[in-house]
Amino acid sequence: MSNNKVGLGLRREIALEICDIEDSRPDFLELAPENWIEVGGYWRSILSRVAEKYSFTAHGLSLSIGSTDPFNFEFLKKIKDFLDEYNIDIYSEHLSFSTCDNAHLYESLPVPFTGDAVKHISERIRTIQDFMERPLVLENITYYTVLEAELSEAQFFNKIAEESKCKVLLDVNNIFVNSQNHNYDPRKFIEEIALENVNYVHIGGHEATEDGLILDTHGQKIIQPVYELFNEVIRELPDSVPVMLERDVNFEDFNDLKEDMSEIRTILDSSSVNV
Amino acid sequence: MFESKSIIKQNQFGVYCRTGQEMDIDVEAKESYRSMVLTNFDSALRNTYPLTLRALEEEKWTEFIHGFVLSFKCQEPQFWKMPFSLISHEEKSQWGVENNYNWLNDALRFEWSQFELFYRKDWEPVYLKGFNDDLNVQLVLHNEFEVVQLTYPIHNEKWDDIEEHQGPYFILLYRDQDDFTVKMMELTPFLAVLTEQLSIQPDTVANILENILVQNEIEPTDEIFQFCLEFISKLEGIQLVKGMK
Repeated sequence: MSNNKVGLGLRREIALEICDIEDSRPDFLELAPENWIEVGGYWRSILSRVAEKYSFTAHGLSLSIGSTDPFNFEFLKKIKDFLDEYNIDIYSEHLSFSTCDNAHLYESLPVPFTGDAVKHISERIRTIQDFMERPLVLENITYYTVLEAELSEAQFFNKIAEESKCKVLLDVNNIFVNSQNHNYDPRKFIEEIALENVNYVHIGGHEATEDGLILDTHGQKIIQPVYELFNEVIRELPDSVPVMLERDVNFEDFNDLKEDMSEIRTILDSSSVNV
Repeated sequence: MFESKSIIKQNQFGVYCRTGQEMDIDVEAKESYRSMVLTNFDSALRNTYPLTLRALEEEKWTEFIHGFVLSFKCQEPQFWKMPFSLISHEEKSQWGVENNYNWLNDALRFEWSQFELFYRKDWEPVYLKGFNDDLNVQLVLHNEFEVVQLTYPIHNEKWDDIEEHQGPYFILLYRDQDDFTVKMMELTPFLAVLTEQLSIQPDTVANILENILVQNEIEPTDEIFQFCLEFISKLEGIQLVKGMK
């Protein structure tokens, strides 16, 4: 039996379907703790049903690791308790900031790719890892602007991982989207990033706007160039890591998701055979 | 705190995204980011306050929401709880009163209570004996309800001439224990006080009732006690009363 794990994002729109799914089941589900902590009633009953059948990974929304605002340790304790309650090992977040001037913005904004930011963020990561008692896994986000760049994005990640000992969640779709929007070769990013730090992978669909910008909507099927990039990443990774299919909108046809999961699994399995 | 040039720029960018206030640095796509931030707030608030949105209509809704995002620094890490901040903003800014929407605060509180009750953390069940019409016991109510006092009949959903129908109104909102939907029951002021007191006072029903009657200068009669027993049975029927100690 294959060790490759293919997961799916737990969205409320498909939670019931996921409970009842018979074939092409995901191996695990990813959830955002913020969306479930202190939630009772109907949705807690659904979460309990889902938890009987699946293991979880967590993808947080509120940490704001790049911010200069202080952490909310009271809430972080709730996240930690939630991770413990559901035996969640992988706690990932975005390498971005979402709070500023003591206010939540509820959006992942890009941080500057500078040496100062490396120091600042690495220190905050160490604080979080100590508190959460597990490694923090940071994701490369999509960005539509570069605030400042003394380093490339991949170098920036490498420096942070080196200084903080955090892990990396590599979002293959985000690499593709950024490469298109900022006109660079996505393979260069893969060559440059230290793949030994990667312990989790995201892949998903995106959408192109009329003016040529590509938006990371997670609402479409995965396109072939992203699969090709994914294939390259998987072949380069030193170890097998869980892969999660992101879909946040457009759930009309669940078969779309099954097809994407099946394709991801095929690529993973063919990569394992070749090793 | 780190105050390098690049991090100062990051903070200026963040403040711009929330407030729209121009900054003295140039950031590509800043308008798109501000639009994303506003859209996130707006979508969640529309979802939580559909009746308020309908009554204010698009132009005034947008003015209200943009004012909120600009001036209120949300502290809530959980996005689904963020809409509660709109009530705090309204109470501070008095935007509703200034714009002749005197019912706005009632509307926000009522819609938030409905929304929050649907999601509220579950009551931890404990073993209890059933209520048996004995007023000399202490009742245990679960926490999945709210008594909302309104000046305007927000609960009727027909708001055309709402200003002409000032209350007070007392609405019991509760989460159905079987299907998890939020339901409502209109209460008299007396029953609203009784319900609240039953949930917060660690005392027998008889003592709670006696205190309310004394405070309101009402002569205790058998009819009143019978009326209360029937009401408590009703609360037991909707499983709001879980049992007795």
